[in-house]
Amino acid sequence: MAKILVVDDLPSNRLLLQRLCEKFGHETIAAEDGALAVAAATGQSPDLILLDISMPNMDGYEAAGLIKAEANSRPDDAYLPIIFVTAQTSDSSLSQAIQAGGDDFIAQPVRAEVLESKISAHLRIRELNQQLVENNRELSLYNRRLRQEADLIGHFFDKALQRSYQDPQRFHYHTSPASAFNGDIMLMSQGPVGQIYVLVGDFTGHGLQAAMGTMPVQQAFFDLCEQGVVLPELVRQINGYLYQSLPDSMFFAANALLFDQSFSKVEMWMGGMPPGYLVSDQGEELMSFASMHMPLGIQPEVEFRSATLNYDLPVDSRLYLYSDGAIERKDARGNIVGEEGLRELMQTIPAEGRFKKMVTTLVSNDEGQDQLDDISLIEVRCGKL
Amino acid sequence: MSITTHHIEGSKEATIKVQGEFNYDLVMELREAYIEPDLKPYSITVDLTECTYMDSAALGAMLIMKSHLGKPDGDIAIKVKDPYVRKVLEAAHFEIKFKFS
Repeated sequence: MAKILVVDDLPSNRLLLQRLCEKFGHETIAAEDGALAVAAATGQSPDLILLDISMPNMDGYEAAGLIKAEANSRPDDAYLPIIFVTAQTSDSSLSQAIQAGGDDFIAQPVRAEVLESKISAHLRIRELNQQLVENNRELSLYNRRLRQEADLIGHFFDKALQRSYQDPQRFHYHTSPASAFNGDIMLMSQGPVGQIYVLVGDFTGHGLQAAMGTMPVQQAFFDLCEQGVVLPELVRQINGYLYQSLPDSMFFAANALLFDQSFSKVEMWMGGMPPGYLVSDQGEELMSFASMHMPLGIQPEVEFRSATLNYDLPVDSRLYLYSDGAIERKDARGNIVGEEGLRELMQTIPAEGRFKKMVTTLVSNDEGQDQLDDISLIEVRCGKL
Repeated sequence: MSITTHHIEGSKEATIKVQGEFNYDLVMELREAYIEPDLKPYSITVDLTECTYMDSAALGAMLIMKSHLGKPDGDIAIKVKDPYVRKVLEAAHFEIKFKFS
């Protein structure tokens, strides 16, 4: 049952339409002219309006325009059908009726079957529309709640990261998550004898599910660095923890590095990350470091390999590491930057502006296309400064 | 992109073929490929020769498959052609868990 507003200045017409509508099973309300119709449409929330055209005070065209404008201004309101009931069936008057905001018309004298079908057709559309409006409302409510939760969780992540060691002379880094949460990790910590630990890693996937794993890894990393454990022990512990707690589908690709205080030596454990590079300030590629192991969290304790490699770092050289989100990026022309693209940048751009240029190449492409994965990039200045 | 399974009753060999980009969108499809029909009794080859991209979600899905089917390391074979896909598998050192051919 719907509520139908019948508008006509002639009582006989009004009564006839009301009786018909009631026979179809609907509730009716009535108005005698356009102005009263506008008031009733606003105040009594009908589901459908049957509207006469020529009436005193305000005619049907004007009333239709005002009613539609008012209905559209309500954020939660759905389609409110207006059917003109008219003796004028010329093409021009019909087009005027539609332009004024009407949705349909019915010719007088009114035939009961035609009126009934038109009413039920328009009510069906209204019902669908109401459903849509309701769904939209629920969705935006849900969305807002989700955003609030995201902000709260983001706060925890930010707090945890404040433990990270800062040295703007040595470390230049950039991270940009694909969504509100970052599944990439970029951590630095100073050990008890001045050694510097670095952990750059990438959890499977992106978004909250990937970021979930980063929190406990951060905790474990900072605690282990504080104790000054050797690098193989650090990765073994993190692997053991992740192997126990991560589902089978998730793992953590990571590069763990340990620099001596003067940054003239580095020890590396690399599992599942893209290769890293050591480049002289003149742009010469001095070394590349390929992944040596499976990512963390896949292998049980007995299978896990904690072997590390040691390298001497010449003065005036820089070390570059990144997550695979960086090499999947497209440049402004839509070409995948890729490993080769980043390597070319490392070798052609002077050391001072190099990192900045690499970041802009990766980031400037963000506009207009979705970032598919979290991106991390780090540059470490090696040797005496 | 799609995943198709070929297995011949009695032959004990099954091939799971992945075409196109193997990413998060195909993770559920891969699961369906070995659960129904149940490929536990078969010797399995994952054919990636027509696969052009692979991400970490896909690597994760491969590990789940291996553990679901209870196959020991090196038992499931992987056929790969695309250099990018090969690079992804190599970086993650999947040769420890799978057999490359």
